[in-house]
Amino acid sequence: MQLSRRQFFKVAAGGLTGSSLVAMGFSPTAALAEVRTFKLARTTETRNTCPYCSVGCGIIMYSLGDRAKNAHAEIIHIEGDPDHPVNRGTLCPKGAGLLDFVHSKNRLKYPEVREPGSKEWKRIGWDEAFGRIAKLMKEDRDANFVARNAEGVTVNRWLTTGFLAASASSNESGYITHKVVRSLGMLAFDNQARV
Amino acid sequence: MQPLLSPEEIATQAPGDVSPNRLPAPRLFSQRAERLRALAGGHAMGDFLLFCARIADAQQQELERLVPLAPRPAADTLKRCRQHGMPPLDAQGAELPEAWFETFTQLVARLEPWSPPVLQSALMSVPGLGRSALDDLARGILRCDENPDTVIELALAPLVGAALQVTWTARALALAEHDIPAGFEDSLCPACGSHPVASIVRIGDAGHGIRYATCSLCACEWHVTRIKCVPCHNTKGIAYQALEGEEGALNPGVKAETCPECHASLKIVSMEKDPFVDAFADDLATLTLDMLVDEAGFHRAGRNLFLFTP
Repeated sequence: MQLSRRQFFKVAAGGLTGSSLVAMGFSPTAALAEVRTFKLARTTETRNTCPYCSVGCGIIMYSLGDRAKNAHAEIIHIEGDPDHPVNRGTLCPKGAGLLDFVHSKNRLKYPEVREPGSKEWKRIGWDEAFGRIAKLMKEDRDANFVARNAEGVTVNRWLTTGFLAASASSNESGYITHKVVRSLGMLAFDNQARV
Repeated sequence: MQPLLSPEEIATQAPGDVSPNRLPAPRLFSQRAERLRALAGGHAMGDFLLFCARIADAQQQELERLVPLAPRPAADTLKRCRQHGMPPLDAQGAELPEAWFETFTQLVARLEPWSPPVLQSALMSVPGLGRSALDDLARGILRCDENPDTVIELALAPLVGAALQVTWTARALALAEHDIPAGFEDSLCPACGSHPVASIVRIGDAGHGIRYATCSLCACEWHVTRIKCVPCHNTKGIAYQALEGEEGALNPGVKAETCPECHASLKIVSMEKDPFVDAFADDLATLTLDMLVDEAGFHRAGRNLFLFTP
């Protein structure tokens, strides 16, 4: 069904166009005059998964703005997804505060390091961060790797370093995380946001 | 130690599944009339909305007469429909119930004194039109291919639509919720196979924030996942368009859900924003939104039996 201003306007005498509203004897003039004083406000709703813990609650994020027109887009509201089988629209206090998490001034946007003995966080580049992590991991692994236990059984354990991954990861990134971490012999490995 | 729960115990302690289908409210039409009156105040088409409220009042009186008489489909028909996901009160293929015309006559008699002069003269010509012309118009409306030949038929179409609504709502009230096929999440009503008028985000016992499509004919509601195009099931690029005037948002409870795939627009009314919204009434009160959305390149997918634009 098409509903345009033109169709709405009137019933032509010959070919039958227009609306039943006009055929019944109501005047659309005032309504049509009013149309010009309004415009459309566009919002979007986007499904996502809460990033906090491994329960994986569904959320809906409400945004303002027209992405197609390159205008400023902003998330204005976040709530539980009522259709999600895990949480059925509910959220825990941490999830209910997600909007502040998104807009937080303290959000981490680049790698930082606080060196031993220092009180200050220092901004570093990604390459430097990766290099530093790899170097420190290798040093610690070389020093503390356990190839055999006291009975001489091969165990290949590395107990002095742990790994914290993301609870909202997909199956695929979970698989890759597991392969990388376990192949180094690391045992302490956590995906739950209990910290 | 906490004893382990058996699967049966877990099932009985779990919150009950929210039914995917909802039957019409027994006072549907009088609630709708009330909403239409509330919306008419200060509205540019207030006189039209007030007349629609009169139609809804007449529909409620007629519904109360029909409910005790409404037949319930045979048990094996209901079972077969459930098995195959077919609407038990099929509006498109089945016979037009003989009694619809009595309902139409009753509505015309009740509304005649309140009609504008143009409609009154159309009502005068009802006896002259003949039963078969009106039956044809009614069948056309049920099949969504109505083709009114004259201005008089166009003027009468909303009253024929109103009579069909009462007939089907009474038949729907003879069903139980579990009689209606569930789990298909289709673009058409699972009870009667008609198009939706709009969809409604409900609060309360229907589940907070759950969206249901509302049938334009029998007023049954069926669950459709949020952020999904009801006509074509697409979930990508869905946007919501609202009316904004100089003094801010108008009808904050009503938005048009637009789909970039099929270019359809179906209104979604939210009880979270306004607990008194009625999909049918709020649709009639926001035709301005349809016109602006039409200019933005989306066609109107909602069907409202009080408004025909051939």
